[in-house]
Amino acid sequence: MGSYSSIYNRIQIRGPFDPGVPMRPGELPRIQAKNFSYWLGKIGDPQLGPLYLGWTGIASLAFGFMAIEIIGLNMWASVDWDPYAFVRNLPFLSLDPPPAKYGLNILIPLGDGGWWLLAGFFLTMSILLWWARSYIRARAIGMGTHTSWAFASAIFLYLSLGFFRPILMGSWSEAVPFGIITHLNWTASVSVLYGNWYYNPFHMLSIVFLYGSTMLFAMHGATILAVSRFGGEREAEEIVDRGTAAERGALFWRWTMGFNATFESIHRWAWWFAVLTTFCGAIGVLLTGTVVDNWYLWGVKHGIAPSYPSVYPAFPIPHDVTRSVVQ
Amino acid sequence: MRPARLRSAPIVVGIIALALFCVGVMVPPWVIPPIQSIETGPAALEMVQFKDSRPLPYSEKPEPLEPADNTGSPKASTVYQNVQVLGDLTDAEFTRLMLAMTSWVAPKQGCEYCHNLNSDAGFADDSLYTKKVARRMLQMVRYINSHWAQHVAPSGVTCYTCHRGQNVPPWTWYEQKKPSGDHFLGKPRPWHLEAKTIRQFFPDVPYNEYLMEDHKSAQIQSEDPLVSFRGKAEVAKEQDAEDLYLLMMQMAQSMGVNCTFCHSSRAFFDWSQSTPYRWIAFWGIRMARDLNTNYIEPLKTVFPAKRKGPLGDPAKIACGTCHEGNNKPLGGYRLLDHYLAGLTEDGKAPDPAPKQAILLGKAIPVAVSGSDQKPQPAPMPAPVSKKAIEQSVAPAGSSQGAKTPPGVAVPGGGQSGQSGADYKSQANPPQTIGSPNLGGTVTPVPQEKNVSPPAPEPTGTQAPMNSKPQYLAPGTPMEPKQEMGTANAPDTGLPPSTQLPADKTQGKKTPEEQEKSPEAAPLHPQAPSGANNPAAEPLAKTRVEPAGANPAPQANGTAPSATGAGTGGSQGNSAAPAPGVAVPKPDGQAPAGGSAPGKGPAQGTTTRYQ
Repeated sequence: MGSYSSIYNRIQIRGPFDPGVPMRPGELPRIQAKNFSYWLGKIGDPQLGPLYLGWTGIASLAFGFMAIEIIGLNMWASVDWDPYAFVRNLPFLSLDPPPAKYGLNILIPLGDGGWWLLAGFFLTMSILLWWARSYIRARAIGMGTHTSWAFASAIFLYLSLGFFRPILMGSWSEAVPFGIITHLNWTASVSVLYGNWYYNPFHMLSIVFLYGSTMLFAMHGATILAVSRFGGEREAEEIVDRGTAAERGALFWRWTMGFNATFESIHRWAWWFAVLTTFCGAIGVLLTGTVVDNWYLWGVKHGIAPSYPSVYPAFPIPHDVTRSVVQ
Repeated sequence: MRPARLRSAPIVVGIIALALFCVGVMVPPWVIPPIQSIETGPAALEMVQFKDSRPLPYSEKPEPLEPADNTGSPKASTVYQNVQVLGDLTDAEFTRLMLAMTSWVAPKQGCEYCHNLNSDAGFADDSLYTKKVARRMLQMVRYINSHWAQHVAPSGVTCYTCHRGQNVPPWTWYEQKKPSGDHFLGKPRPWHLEAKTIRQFFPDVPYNEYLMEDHKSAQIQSEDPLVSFRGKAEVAKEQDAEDLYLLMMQMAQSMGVNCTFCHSSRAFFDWSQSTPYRWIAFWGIRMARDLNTNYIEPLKTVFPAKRKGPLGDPAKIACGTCHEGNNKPLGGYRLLDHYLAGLTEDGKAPDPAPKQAILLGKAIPVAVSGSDQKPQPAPMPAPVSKKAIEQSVAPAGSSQGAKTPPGVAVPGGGQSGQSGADYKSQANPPQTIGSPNLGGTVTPVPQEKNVSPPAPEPTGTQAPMNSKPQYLAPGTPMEPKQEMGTANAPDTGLPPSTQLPADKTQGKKTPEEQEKSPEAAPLHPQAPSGANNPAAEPLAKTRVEPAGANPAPQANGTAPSATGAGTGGSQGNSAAPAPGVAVPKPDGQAPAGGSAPGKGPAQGTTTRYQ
């Protein structure tokens, strides 16, 4: 029964090397790196390996490497292959999607967004293959596939931003560029362009679940650490056979807020909050520009945007601000 | 693992962490506290400007030269050859201005930066490109001071406003290459290796798109909640939005303010929620377009290649060219007052009246929160330092009346001109400034009409407020326009010729239907409660306070929203204050309704609803 510290644990469990469950027929061999790491033991299990890649893992890494390579070389080329400028400006370099004139064409000059399409294709393939790998590995061990479906929710957001919404809008130019600062610029300008995404109810929900996730994570992590002196880190046992750790943790929260999740249900809470964060975000993305044009005015229409008193005197507006609908 | 290593590991890690922390504290150019925060909007909207105590670069303020002795001084055109712009100045005034210009623009090179003194013609020689440019720039400064008073009053501009002692103003921009099919990336990215802050990495492309007369539309947002009935989005392209975003970020950086200095960031497009400072920026953008197109760009035939950008254009003007990080260039330092004779077309200081009409008379630039808000003072003449008076501008004895009475809440109140909401120096200048009699030494010589043909008044869409002076004259009350709410969602101002096209989307209404319908009118930000306001007239519906939540004020008919005269502080030209908001009328009377017993807002709290 360990006593778990908040930063890292002073106790390291060192058993004999655990090779894992037997392989199923037809599977590739595992990479058997039999090793223990002292430093990994500080933050997790000290045993390294075995690692199973399989064909999905190999293909995923290969596609991912190609995507990163295309993005990186494009960025490097944009600073004329100057290594110093590349490193210094890396956060600001970008691989942009094709301009709007190409629409949804996929045969685009490489220098005008074709590289973006290629990189996006390879990155998407890599991510989807990694998803398949997470699914297959979970089944191979006999686990449920909760991890895969949570990952799928994040992939849905990724595809909504870069694939589904551009198709709905009829142009690849709507998609997000590859680049650290530039994708943040994209985020800011899209929010402004569609009249302030903070009034997007699905954005609101996504934020609720995001913040809720962090809160649940903190509550759960803190509870388990706090009852670890009573064996609380053995959550599986405590779920089916409530021991003093589970009872104390539950009592703490009942005293604190009158209700407690169980050692089992807290994980369903956390899982749904995490899944709904990206899922709601994706719905909000897909509605923007396809259904709703100005989220602020949508909020006004539906009474969720309050009016505030004006603290300035009245002044006229310039006449050329009025216009017909769209330039 | 040996036990000794286990014991020493935390110490080693701790030392490394401490070293990293020290590097993080000492190396980056941190903003040094105290950081002043100034709220410039209603509470809850977080319209805050932040100012730190760092001195801005190029913020040195030059001393004006001693006033010229004009007695018996002949005209410059009779003394010198080839004086094309300043020929009507007296020789003494002319020489004084030349010396000042030298110290502003070429303090190291001196006269010879522009004048080729080795030539036969001497000072009259025009062989140096710098002289031709300087002449055009002189005309530009005179044009700005006499025709763009909306933006530059009261301080005006001098050569130093942009040049700051440098041959080339430190903050300029060049045209960038357009993206092309064979270009490696979609957009050119002129990354600056010397950039110090994140904003300096942003490309200059948006300048070219928005700061020339032939510019893109900046109206990128839809004025309609839903997409059109064809399912098409009614907004600009995302790339245009990003370009405009970059332009606006650089504008904010130029002035050291946030977006919220002018906009309420929850609805950028909405003038009814913007601060009056948006007007100043609106004029400024048009001024930059005017100057870039009519004064800077034509000089590309004069400049040598080394002064031109990659596409062969001269260095052009953006907001930061004058502002240099300060929302008032040089903190509103009124250097021009000492050089009115040469740097204006008519010898008069820029007229602050247009700005006053927007800003000064009624502006309360801090959040109104409670009944202890002091009445807005009447416009007071700006304080003029004794030194300045002694030097040249105002005749002796004119400093009276320049003092702000004690206890009067001058917004901001700071001397620095750094604070976001400070507008003290925009007060009336002393009467002597701009009058023909400038106190003896700098009497402006009457200018011939065709010495420098003044550019025509801006007209059409370039004309500030369509040049309706009755709105801008100081002291004139804002005329309530009968047929439309003015400062509200911009659909209300459409002339009949540009009516919105019919939108047949299910569930959407035409503007006419929206006016008649008791349903929520989606075009009007405050409309949802309009259905509950039985007294709301068509005029009043443009900005109806959520009075439906509290129908009592309408029942007795005393609330301004029931009269249709002042349904909100942003109600267009109406000078009536928002109900329940302590915006005093210019004459200092209590706002109607706001302070009435029993109907006033909760004391000490921001009033959102009546």
